[in-house]
Amino acid sequence: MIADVGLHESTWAPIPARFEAGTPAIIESAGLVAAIEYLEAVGMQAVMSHDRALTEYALGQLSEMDDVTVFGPKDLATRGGVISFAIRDAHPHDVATILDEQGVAIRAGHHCAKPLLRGLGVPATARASFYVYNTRDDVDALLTGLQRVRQLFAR
Amino acid sequence: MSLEELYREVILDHYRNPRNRAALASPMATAEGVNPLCGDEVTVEVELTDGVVTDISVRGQGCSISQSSASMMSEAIKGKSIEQIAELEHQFKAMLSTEDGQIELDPEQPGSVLGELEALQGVKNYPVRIKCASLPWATLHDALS
Repeated sequence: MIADVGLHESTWAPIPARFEAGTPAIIESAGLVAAIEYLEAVGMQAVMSHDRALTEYALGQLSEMDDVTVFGPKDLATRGGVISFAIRDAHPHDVATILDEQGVAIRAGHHCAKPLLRGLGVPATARASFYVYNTRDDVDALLTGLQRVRQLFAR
Repeated sequence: MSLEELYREVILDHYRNPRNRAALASPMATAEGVNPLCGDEVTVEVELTDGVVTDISVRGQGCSISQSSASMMSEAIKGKSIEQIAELEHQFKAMLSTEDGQIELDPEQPGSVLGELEALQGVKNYPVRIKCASLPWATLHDALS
């Protein structure tokens, strides 16, 4: 990073060395290699079809619920297995706490995307997402969990 | 500590029928608070006469805990002096375990120590939600400083 360092002034190496401070991310790189090898062993086509199957199942079930709004496209070709949704009468935080108590982990808030949420006209959303180790049972757990939300927040 | 205890009727009532929402005509002090990680928002306006809060407005949007806490706070501090409010803030934070200090709530007489604010005592068992409950008080603190 540096050419010379003084008490009050320093000079810098040329780009790109200028932006490399200290020891590189060695451990993280090793982790990245392990992750790549893991996914290559599963096979990225298999990863995609698994993701799509779960998303299709989840979207299908959620769209049957008339107190649930799903944000984003419904077309599987243009979306991945990350589903932002809202349920009537319960704020996403409250949804997250209630689901958490039932062993279902979602995220809630503005997901570092405040301008998007402003555009959607909502202060926050709940968000479920899937990975290779998720199963249909996990989606069912989410759907069952929403029942508990309704129980507590029913008017 | 069950979800029913966290989401008890008092909290849901304040969430659905929040008190003191009407904006003040000419507030003497005002502050806006936000929880950046989740988007809860609270705006607090107060009118003071001789160091006593004579009127208050709390508005905002967010989860049931942050909004009901704001509503309960507005009722708790009306008519209180700045010193009394500081003491109440300290007791509330002690109840949520975010500040040192003991607070003894009487399970035989709910509400006898902190009134309706005691309904939020369950929040300390859900650490992620503590910031929701304390947001209105932090915002009020800013308004009064």
